[in-house]
Amino acid sequence: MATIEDKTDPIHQFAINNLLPINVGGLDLSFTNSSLFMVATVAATAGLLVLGTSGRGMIPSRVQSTAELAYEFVANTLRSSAGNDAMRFFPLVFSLFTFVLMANLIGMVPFFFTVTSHIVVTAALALLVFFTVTIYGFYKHGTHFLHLFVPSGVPAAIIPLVTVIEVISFLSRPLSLSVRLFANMLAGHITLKVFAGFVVTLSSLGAFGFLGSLLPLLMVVALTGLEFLVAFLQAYVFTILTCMYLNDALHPGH
Amino acid sequence: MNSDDDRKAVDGSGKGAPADGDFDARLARLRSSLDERAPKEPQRADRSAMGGMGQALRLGSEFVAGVIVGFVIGYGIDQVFGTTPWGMIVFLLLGFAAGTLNVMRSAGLLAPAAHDRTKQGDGGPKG
Repeated sequence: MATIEDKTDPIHQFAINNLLPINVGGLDLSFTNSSLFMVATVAATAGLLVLGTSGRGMIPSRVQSTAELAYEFVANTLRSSAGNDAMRFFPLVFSLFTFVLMANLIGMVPFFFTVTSHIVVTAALALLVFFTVTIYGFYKHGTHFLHLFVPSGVPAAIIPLVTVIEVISFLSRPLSLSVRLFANMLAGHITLKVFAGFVVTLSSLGAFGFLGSLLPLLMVVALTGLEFLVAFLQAYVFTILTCMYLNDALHPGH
Repeated sequence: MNSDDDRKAVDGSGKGAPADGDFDARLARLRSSLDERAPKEPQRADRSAMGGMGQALRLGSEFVAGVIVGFVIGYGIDQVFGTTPWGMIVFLLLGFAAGTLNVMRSAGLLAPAAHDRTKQGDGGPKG
């Protein structure tokens, strides 16, 4: 009985295990299963792109057209939402998109760890975007960047209030960016696991249970398809919001 | 629209034309400013493709993020200046406002750049 409970525990899949304990000056820098799958994500992405660009055929192979598709997709998103001069941030945006997408997709393989289901990882990505936008905005525009917080056409009496609200809204961006990605992946994987757990427990109840377990099984199949959609969609949403924030850094209150 | 044209044709020779023209210009200005305030069509198409679940999660996280950041700022101010309940109360309310602003912006109910709108609104009536 304990083994079944262990297998159907929906939270168990997010546990972090130390694979290689490393301790530097009291800091726990162990190589965990999360680290392993981050390395796997980067390796898979880099491998796919290196393989895709090595042929350079006039008629692209399947891998090459996947790589070209990814490039075109991110480049178009960046150009359309932040303008042509935003292309200097293309390496950052493309890395973020491919990392999040590949991490989400690798997490869909059974028994694999989902890197983006931990808020530490998504918060680090979101803070990277936030600090890039803030530092570049001040570097490029100086104090003019602060015009982002003072919308024009507002009566002078309520400008302090509006400015404070705009600043809070600006500071809430990394939080909403990281929470959205993390919550989507966490909720999706828990739902999947809970329905899969129904199948296991129902099918151990004899013939009726076996027939009844077909319903959650169908649900699991449908949810798996939905999760693949969510994996792609969340990577896209993360990318397009990054582009919109970069647009603010490039053209504050133009 | 048709009746407008008829009236213009009748008034064309009369003295009422300048006042009517002024009214038409004001109407055009109102229409253009309403158009700019209205949500952009492509954005809306994007969002409906995302499905209700995705939109709910997105808007929810936008709102909650505003409130949480407001709370954290207020709590921090209280800890630094020793004004225990007041910073939290004030900034929680401001965070609520910021969260609502986030939600309205990401739902496309509020045009993101107020600056463009006023510039074009000023330029419109001169033409």
